[in-house]
Amino acid sequence: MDRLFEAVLFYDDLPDERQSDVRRQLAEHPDLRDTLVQWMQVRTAIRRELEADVPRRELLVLYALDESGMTNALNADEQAALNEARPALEEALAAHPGLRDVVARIQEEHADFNAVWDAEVGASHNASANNTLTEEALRHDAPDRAADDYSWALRLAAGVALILVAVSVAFLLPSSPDSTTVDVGAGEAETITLADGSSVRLSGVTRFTYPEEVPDDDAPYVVSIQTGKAFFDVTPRAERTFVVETPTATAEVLGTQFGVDTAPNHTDITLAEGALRVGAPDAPNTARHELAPGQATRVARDQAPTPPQDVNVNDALAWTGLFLFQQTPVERIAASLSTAYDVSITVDSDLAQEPVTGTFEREQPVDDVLDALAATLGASVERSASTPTTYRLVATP
Amino acid sequence: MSDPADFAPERVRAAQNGDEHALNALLNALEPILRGYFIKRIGRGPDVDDLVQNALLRVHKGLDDLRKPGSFKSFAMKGALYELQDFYRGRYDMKENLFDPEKPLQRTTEANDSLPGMDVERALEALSPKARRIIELREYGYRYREIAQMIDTTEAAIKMQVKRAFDKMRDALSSLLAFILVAG
Repeated sequence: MDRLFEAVLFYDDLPDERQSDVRRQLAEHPDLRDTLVQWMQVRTAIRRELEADVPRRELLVLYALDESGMTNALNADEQAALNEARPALEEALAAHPGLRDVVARIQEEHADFNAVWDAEVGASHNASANNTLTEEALRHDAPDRAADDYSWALRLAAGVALILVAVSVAFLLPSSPDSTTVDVGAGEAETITLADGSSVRLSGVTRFTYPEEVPDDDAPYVVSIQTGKAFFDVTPRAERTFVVETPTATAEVLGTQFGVDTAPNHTDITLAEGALRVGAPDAPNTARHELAPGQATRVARDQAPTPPQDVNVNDALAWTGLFLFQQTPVERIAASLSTAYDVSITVDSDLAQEPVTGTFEREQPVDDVLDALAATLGASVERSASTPTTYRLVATP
Repeated sequence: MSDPADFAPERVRAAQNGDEHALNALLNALEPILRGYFIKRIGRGPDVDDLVQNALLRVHKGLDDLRKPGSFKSFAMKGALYELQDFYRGRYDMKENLFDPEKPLQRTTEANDSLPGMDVERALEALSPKARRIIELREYGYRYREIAQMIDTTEAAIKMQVKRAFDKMRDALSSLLAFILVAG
């Protein structure tokens, strides 16, 4: 029953067939159904409060811009509207703790827009774009997505629509006949199986390019990360080298699991398992470093890699969305999971020092991770009846 | 990459004055910027096409009222931000219909359609500040993984908070029902 509760609580995340299954089960459990309706009523009440307190979200956008010092992006009409709405908005912000997070996110969205604009157009154009202006019409006549998701297309001028189609097609084409470029957005993760059988998990805002076929000869299989984060699980192959290139670093893989975090001026490389040789293409005469598991290096533009440093792999690679354990004692794994899931996990003394190697998705429910861990150890999971967030891993007699 | 000249005030002014070529060139130059922006914010997917085209439509329709053509960037920026707000607001409208479309429960999720013994106000008061913050963000339209980013924690920890809040409400309701049965 608890699993069903959980499935409904996170119904949006379920695949279609599981959603149908949940609906079928709900029809068979009227008590559960009523409790869930009550839960939905609580959530609906919160939504109604938010809608009543912030009836026009565009004013919250203007508030966020104003708060971040972008007052010159608001014209006189907008500034007047914001001034009038400000007392009510600040009351709403005090009443709803989540709204502060919304304002911070809008400010982040604004910064991202500037970053994308500057990358596409060039920062030189900014100087001419800092005047006040009137955008009243932008806020009006916004398409009602809920009621009319697709009818915009009918209203859009034909000339514009043709342009969009052309650009969309170009966007989906591979970047060259032999390679494919993948873009992953904020908060997203995507796992790709490469032509040589290795896999790469891309996290957050990342652009990654890989050849669609392995070379016919013994040439290395070279992939590249233009920006962002990638975690590689590379199968060792005697006949071919696997090379990762970033704007500042090259990593020659010797059969391994490792993370690459690429920024414009430096690359951080952290090794979880195996061996990895890291060099700096912009500083070809400098030393290359071979990393051992649990070590990291940074390659800044035009500089040699820093000497390998010992790191906590799970902290350094938290962005992968994975828990990575390499010969890690169970009690340390329990401590990591307790922190990540905000639950209490204790371990029998018989199991505490048992080493475990494994990878778990951080998005998996803690119950699933603990069940998998217990299965690996031949142990079992005790769940407290009185405190549902208290677990104990116990040795099976 | 777009050319700064694509957004020059004279081109914006020409588009405002009905020059179809200038309008198409302006929107054509803006399209990849919007696309890159929305991909950066919500990742690749079918929603990006909708966002891009709705934002272009918004800019197109509002262009006549842009009094300072030199400020087209700010104009487009606000259009994109408003579009994201609409996107979040509409995100769960269909999903909320878990209990409605085929009406298997013969009940709505409106707060005033309460089941016997249900006190929405008391249930709201019972929520911890952390749970309330999370549910507010969820009802605003964000996904759990986005909420995790916003408050700097993991998605799993967020879901655990939601589950705890739900369990707490369920326990409270069970106690209330038991009291009613005993008293009755």
